[in-house]
Formats: sequence, C-alpha cells, structure tokens
Amino acid sequence: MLEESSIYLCSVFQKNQNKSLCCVLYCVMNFMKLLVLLSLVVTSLFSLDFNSCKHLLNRTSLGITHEELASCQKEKSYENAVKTLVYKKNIYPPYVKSLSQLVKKPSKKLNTQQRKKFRQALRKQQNELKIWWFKNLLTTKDPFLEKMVLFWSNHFTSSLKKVRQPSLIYQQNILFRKYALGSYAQLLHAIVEDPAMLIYLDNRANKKIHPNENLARELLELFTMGEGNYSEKDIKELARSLSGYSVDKQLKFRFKKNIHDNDVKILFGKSGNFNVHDMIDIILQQDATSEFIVKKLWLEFVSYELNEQEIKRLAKLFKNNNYEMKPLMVEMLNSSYFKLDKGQMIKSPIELIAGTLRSFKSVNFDMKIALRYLNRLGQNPLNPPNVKGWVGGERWIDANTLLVRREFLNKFVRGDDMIDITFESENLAKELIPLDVLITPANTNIKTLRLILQHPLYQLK
Amino acid sequence: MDRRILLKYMALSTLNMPFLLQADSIKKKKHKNLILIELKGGNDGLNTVVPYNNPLYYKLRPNIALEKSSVLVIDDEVALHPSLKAIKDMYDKNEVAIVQGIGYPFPNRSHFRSIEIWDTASKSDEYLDDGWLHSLNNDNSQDIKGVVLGGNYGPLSGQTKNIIKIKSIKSFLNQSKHINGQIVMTGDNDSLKHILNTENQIIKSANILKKKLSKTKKLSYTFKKSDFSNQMKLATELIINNAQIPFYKLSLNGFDTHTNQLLKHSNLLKELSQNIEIMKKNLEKSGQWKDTIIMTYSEFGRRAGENASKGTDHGTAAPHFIVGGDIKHGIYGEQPSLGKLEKNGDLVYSTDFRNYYKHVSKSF
Repeated sequence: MLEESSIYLCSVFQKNQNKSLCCVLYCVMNFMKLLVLLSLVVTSLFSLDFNSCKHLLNRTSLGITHEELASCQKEKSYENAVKTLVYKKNIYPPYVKSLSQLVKKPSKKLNTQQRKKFRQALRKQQNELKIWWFKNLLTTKDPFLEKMVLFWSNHFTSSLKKVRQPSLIYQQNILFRKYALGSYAQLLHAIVEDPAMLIYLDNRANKKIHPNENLARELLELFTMGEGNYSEKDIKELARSLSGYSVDKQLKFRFKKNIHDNDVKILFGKSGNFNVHDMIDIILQQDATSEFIVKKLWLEFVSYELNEQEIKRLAKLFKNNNYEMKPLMVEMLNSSYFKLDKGQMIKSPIELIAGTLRSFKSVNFDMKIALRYLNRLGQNPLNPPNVKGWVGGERWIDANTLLVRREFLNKFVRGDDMIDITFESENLAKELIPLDVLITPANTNIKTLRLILQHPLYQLK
Repeated sequence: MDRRILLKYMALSTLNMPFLLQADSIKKKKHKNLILIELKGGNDGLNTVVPYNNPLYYKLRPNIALEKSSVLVIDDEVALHPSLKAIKDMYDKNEVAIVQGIGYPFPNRSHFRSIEIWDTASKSDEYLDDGWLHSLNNDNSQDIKGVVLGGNYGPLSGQTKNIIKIKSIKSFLNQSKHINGQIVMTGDNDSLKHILNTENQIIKSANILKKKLSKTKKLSYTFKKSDFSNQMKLATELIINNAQIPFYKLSLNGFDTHTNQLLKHSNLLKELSQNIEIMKKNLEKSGQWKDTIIMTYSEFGRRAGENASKGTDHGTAAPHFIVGGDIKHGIYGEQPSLGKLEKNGDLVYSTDFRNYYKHVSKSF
C-alpha cells in the first residue's frame, strides 16, 4: 500500500520535476516502508498499535475522533478493543415527542386548500426529522450503534417519500436502534408489524381474497434468504400468511383477523395454519438466511471481496447463537480478512460528510447544506432509491459525485467557524487517511488540511 | 395463454416503428446526437395529443378538456395542444413522429419507482442497476459518451463511464482544474484504482471540452432564460461546436399537475415546444439537424378522467414525441381506448416503451 501511495505522491507533488528524482523518492519510500514494518513489529509487542485502532474505527465509527483513537490504543489487545466496542452499553438519543406524532389529515377527502396545507405540514415534519437524524449522527456518543442502524435501515428499507408520515419512519428508526446490536431474528419478527414497512411494501392491500405479494417477495429476496433459495410458490404461501397485517386509522399496527388467510400453508416441507411469525421461524431455520445476512454485513464491514468459506463459518456461528449480533460482529472484526482490508473500501456519502464534520466536532456546519450534499452525492437521507437500498461500493463515485465530494470538502475547509486548527499536520494526515501516506505540509495549516482532505485516499476507509 | 392475449402480445413485440429514419439511414447509423427530454412529474397525454373528436374525452374531463376549436388538428382522430404550435409546424414538415399509448404491463404509479422502470427498461417487478443506454455505451475509448444537463442520470445511470453531469461548462472546467491527475498506481486496491480512474476521466473530459470549445461558435438563435432553456442551450452549444457527444439527458420539471392544470400544463408544453424550435433552427444553420433525434419520455401519463381539483392524478400510458431532421413522420401505435379503461380509470397501454427504446437504440 505504501508503495502505491508513494507513487501517487511522486506524481502529485513532483509532477513538474524529472523522473529520476521521482525514482529516488520512490526508493526512499520503500526504505521507509521497511522501517515502518520493523517498527510495527516492535511496537505491537507492547501495546495496541495505532494502525489497527485506526482501521477498526474507520469501519465501525463515523469519522474518527482523537478521543476514540486514544481510548482504543489504551486497550491491552486488539481483541479487547473489539470486545469493548461491541459490548459497551449502548447510548440512545433522547425521545423526541414532536417527531412521534402523526400529521393529521383534517378529513378523508381534502379540497385543494386542505391538501396544500396537509402537504406543507408533512414537509415541515419531514425536514424536522431529517435534521434530527443528521444531528444525531454528528453528536452521537455511540457511533457504532448508529452505523448498525444505518445498516439495518438500508436492509429493511422504507422510504419517507412513499410512507409520507415522518413519525412512522421515526418509529422505525427507533426500532432499528433497539435491535441494532440485539437479535436479527427478533428484529425480523418486529419488522413485519412495523407500520412504515407495511405501508412501504403495500401490505395494507394484502387480503385473503386479493393477495398482494410485495412484502412477501421482498422478505424472501432481500430481507432473509436471497434470490435463488425459494420458489414462486413459497412467495405465495408467505403472502397468504401475511394477509391482514395492516394498520388502523391512526396508522398503528393492527392485525385484521377478518381478512387474514387462516388456512393451511406449506413452507420448506412444513405445514400448518401458520401466521407470518410461524413462517419466519421456518425461514430462520434455513442456512441460506444466516449466510445471506452475513454476506451483507461482510460487504458493509469487512471487504468487497467475499470469502465463501469464511462466510459459511460465520453464518453457522450466527445461526447457532440465535442470530445474536454481538458475537457475530466480534468474530467478524477479529477476522484476518477484516484486518487485511485497510483502506480498500469507499466511504458512503454519509460516512464522508457526517464523518468529516464529526471528526472536527464541527456541529455548526449548516445542516441543510450538509443534507443537500448528501442528496447530490446519491444518498438522500431516509429515502433509499428503491427497496434494494443503496448498492454502494464503487457506485458511490463517478465523475460527477467525485467533483461534488471535493466541492463539499473544500467548502468545509473554507468555512470560518469550522475548527480550531491547532494540530500537528503530520499527525492529522496520519489520523485521517486510512493508509500510510506522506503528505508534505503546506505553509499554512488550512492548506495542509485541504491537501489531506482532497487526497484520493481520504475517500477510502 | 388466452389466444387473444397471445396475439396482442405478439403484435406488441413485433411492432414495427420505423419512425426514426428512412430505411437507408438505418444501415448507415448516421444519427449522432440523441437528446432525451424527461417530462418530469408525469405528462398528461390526453391533453397533449388530444382525441378531440371523441365525445368520451369531453365527458371524462368536463372542466379541463381542451376546446375543439383551439386544438391543432393532425387528423380525424387526434390534434395537438395549442401550445405545441412549433411541434405542429415541424410535424407538417415531416419532422415529428408521435408514438401513442406508450406504457408497460403492471404499471406502477409511484413517480420514483416508475421512472426507475423507464430508466432501466426493466419489468415492473424487476430491479436493474443500469440505465437502458448503458449497454450502447461500452466501447473503451476515452471520448465523452453522454452529458446529463438536468435531473438524474436516468437512462445513462449505472457504472457511468465517461458520462458527465454539468450545470455549466465553465464551472465543470473550474472544478476539474483542482484535480491533480496523471497518476500511476500499482497494487491491488480496486477502490483506489476506481477513484484514480475517475479522476483521469474528469481530466480527460475537461480537456476534450476545452479543446472543442476553444473557438466557440456563437448560437445564431438565442434561447430564453429558464432552467430548461439553459439545458437546451448547453446541449445545442455542445453539438454545434462538435463536441461529438452522442447522448444528452435533459429534464423539464413540473408535470405533476394534480390541481388547476390547464394553465400550468399549457406553459410547460409551450416551453418544451419553443425550445425545441430554437434548437432546431440553430442545428439547421450548422447543418446538424439531420443528425439529431430528440425524444420525450415521462414516468407515466395521467388518469383519463379529471379529479376534483381541476387536475389529473397519476396514470399509465401516454404518447411521446420523436423530433428530428431525418425521421419518418406520422402517428405510430394505437391511441388507448377511452371506452375500455382499467378498473381504476386508467388508460391501457398499446405500445411497450421497451420497444420504443429498442427502436431508438438501433439507429445508434
């Protein structure tokens, strides 16, 4: 990696000078690489090394802060650091009453005036929700929990645009937080009674006489087993078991017995008068389910490169632990595949924007502007593009979004209220860039900071 | 399958739409510029291409039907909205094809989902990642393949190689100046490689634009000032300066006309029609009108009957325009029957939009 960076630096900083100088630099860097490796071997014998902590936090936090790095390095071993991270007591954001209330519709049929007013009220609360959501990412004392919440909301997708009522998305967000590091099985049972989900995937229209298969299909394809592991017939049976799972007039969950199909259903060789919870239990018994979820977590936390054998091993462990998240995450973060993947993943827009602001404790940055940037970078908050969620990875970056990412970072550096820049620029580069890289400090701190943030490696984690 | 449905299906899949070019130019693939105009929000088809002789049209729309005396008559069955005067003139000059009743089976009435279906040319229950023009865009040269001037990447979405999204050429060039570039790297960090490739792509695109636009030709006919006019202006400038970019994606916003739609819709169609006319005049002057195709699309049409707010709600099928200097004009596809609506009052599509697209792709 150091090699790549040195070549990069060669071309960036020595662009106008001759090639031989570049080669000399390259050799020097190679020698330094050897030194670094040696020093790593020596220091790792005594304390938890800086780079392991940085990598762990890069993947599990939202932008690294000094404090997090320092406290990680105090741990006796890497295993301890992982355990502390995963098993620490979670800190939840305070409940916001105004976000939990429905925007009332004055009557069933609205005239033009009322419709306009209703829409305005919805929009107002939507904005309020987005600001709350973003502020929470910036100020949270539990970034790993929030990372997991982001993961689940991109797994069990629902979008504000379709659900419309912000309070339902807010409630769903609270649900994710409750189970984020708890049990996937329990979360799955809960999500089929979640109003936002029932509305988002049209299960209100799923009745015994007129089945609607939307939720059932996605539940198998995207939420549990993945394509290729079930049949069209299974979808139909699951849809029948989901009939009647709906909401009442207050948009609270309601099981409507009279439109529920209570006849016998068959799924994976079992039959009975199953409701959806019985069906979910059967789905959870399938190996495909644990493998599918582990694979998705792997792509989010470990690496873009899959290792089938390791995934199978982790999946087995996950299933045997009743789908508890904590033991799985500990195992994943301790895996050598995780450790070897330093700086090989691309930051999502949320990680880039919220992470940058959080690293510098820059809570005064105009949130509306930040939200607009998220939108322009393809991650419109609380509005995934479709039920599949954001694909992410390399797709985050194209000619347009790369320019917008740089534009945001520039704006951030230019902002005057932003940070108190009293740092040693060398350390800063070391902390902010996921791989070892040498950035020649400029004559002012601000300029150095810009060099660091505009470096292509800053886009990585 | 019911034999009648089967026949209908066969008719659809083999539907011949020779609107794009005369037979000889199909072979030569001579079209060079495809301008895609997204009518964002869902354009009301029945008030665009109007079945002005059908009494059912007036019955379904007591408040918002266009007056028979005002519409621009094409034939015994259909006429154009009065705001489409320029389009009508072009139609008379053999430069407009109207494809009626475009839609798809199991229509989705959500803006977001339906435009995604159109953009990726997917089935109603299928989620694809790449836009439909993506597959036409796979040679490895470094030229710029497409420019997004308004709205989302749409048909050009996906792993967008050599597609740029710009609001103004000047600011794109300015932004790209800060990219260092000329980077070589070894090793196997694919993510870093992807970023460096993207940087190189930006620099190359900027260089191409700079070179092509160094001796900028001035437009002979000026555009008005509006967001959409500005997009049309940029596209026209790029074409007449021979930027040699095949695809342009533009977006005209505001077609979600739920309330008091008459005036809004009339203004939107006027903006569309007048801008196309100015572009045409410029391209005629530069001799490139024959190389150009302009096509409209929209996430859906609107409900056949009006709603209680003198507007229309999300619907299904609608007509679309293909405009250009070398196309076979006429009316294609069938106007959906106003007598046989879907259960909820929607028009039943007669032409699958994927066939419409397939035909367009053939000429590139």
